[in-house]
Amino acid sequence: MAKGLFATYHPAVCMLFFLAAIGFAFSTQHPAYVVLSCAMSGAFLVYLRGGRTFLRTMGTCVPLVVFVGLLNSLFNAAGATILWQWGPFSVCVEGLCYGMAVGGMLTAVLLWFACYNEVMSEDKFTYLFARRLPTVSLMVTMISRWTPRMVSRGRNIYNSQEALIGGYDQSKRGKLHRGVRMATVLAGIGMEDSIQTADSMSARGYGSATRTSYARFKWHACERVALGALGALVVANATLLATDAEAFTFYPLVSPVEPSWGYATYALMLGMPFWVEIERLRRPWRESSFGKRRRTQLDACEHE
Amino acid sequence: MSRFVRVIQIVQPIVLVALPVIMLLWAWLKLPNAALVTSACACAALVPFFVGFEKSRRRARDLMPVVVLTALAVAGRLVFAPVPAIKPIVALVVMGGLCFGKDNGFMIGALAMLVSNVFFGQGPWTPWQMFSMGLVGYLAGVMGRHGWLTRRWSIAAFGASIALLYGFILDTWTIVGFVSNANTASVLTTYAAGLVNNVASAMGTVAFLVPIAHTWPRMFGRIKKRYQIG
Repeated sequence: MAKGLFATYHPAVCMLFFLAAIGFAFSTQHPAYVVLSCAMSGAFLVYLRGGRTFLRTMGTCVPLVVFVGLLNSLFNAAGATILWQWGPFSVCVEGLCYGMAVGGMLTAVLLWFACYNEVMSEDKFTYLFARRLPTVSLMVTMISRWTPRMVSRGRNIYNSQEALIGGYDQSKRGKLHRGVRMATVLAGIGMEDSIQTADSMSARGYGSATRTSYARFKWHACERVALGALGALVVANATLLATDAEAFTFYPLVSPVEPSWGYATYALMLGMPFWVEIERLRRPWRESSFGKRRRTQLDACEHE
Repeated sequence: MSRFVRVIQIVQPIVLVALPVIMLLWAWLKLPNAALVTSACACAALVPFFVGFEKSRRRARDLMPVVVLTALAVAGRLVFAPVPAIKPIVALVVMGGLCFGKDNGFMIGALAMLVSNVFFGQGPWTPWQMFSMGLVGYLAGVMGRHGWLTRRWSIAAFGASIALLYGFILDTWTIVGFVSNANTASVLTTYAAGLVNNVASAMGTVAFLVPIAHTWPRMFGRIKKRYQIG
């Protein structure tokens, strides 16, 4: 369970916020906006999961970010200030700046996705699509139930075979042979078993009428206000960011970063997970009761 | 089959071709915001497949092959997570498309990437992985329907080439989305960086497909006949 009030909001609000944050992060390489997006996403991730998760996420991002950054800076001769030239390869200051901006943009996007993974648990995701795509969201739910079942069954089969036969051929060929046989057995059992599930679903009326869904999340007044504010900020940012990005160029010379109102609105928009906490001043019990109940439910699920 | 589903069946192959073309055109014309636009297009390209599956109004039984094979593919990706590149996922998706048709094949591929990324982390790559893996299942279904994938070597060759195609599409997306002013050197560097992974994945796919190339279609054929599914 992710920390904070934002994670208890209606999934549609959370989804729209992440779409906006990731969309804007993707759409600009203006250094000020890139830095803002990195800072806000990093702060949100630290707030959600603490510094250790943040560092681990950064660790997994680094190879990709460095690769993309280098790719953009090394093979680029469009800049005016050439630092170093060797045959067809040349490195210029502008290219390096651009590579850093693209790397920063990618870092911000990856950090936002890390926050997304914390906030948007799978049940929220399927809840969003339950009404439009009932069959597909049902299947996603069933797949996530079947996956651990497959793993544990595979382990059972492995253990009992090891006990019966005693010792395995540990060569690569033997391992492959075993993996293939395991997959075959699991597919066979899975198919036969799932037919029973399907039959009992049909017996209980699956497919006899349009599927209904119940509302697990309610639209509170504060969520409507937050959504309205988010919409207004998105519109404001779209115009301000577009003009700022238009004015800024990397080639042939990096233009200076001018102060702009766009930075303030951008920070305000990305800070949504933080400013929704104002609600606590009015209703200090909201997160504590709701969050605690959900947390115990989730703990119970995990212990199962 | 309703008219709507028939229209969607015509739209699907067009979308499969159109998306890579749009991506390449975007790169060719050097239009801005390539990463954002191509990701949005990949999301949009998934819609006709998901809606078509939804509207075909299947019985509960007919959903089960997709659920079981996807779960197996996800479990395979989890179990083989410590060994990079070698994953049975492409082999399973190919088998799914081959035995249960192109629509089920696409769903197996797309859902396998969606659900396994819950464990591996969603990212900007998710829509493209879903689309490309769906394409793997779809093509396997089309080839299987025409009876081109009956021999062991043809299935293995198809698996190897489709695994390479999958890697090629994703590498191309990396270039289009994240490398501006792409020139020969940067394009080649990206493909070279992905090459080891792609070749290992193709080899792993062949190693998985060869032993199951005959047994699985037979096994699934029996199950299809026995339970009247697929």
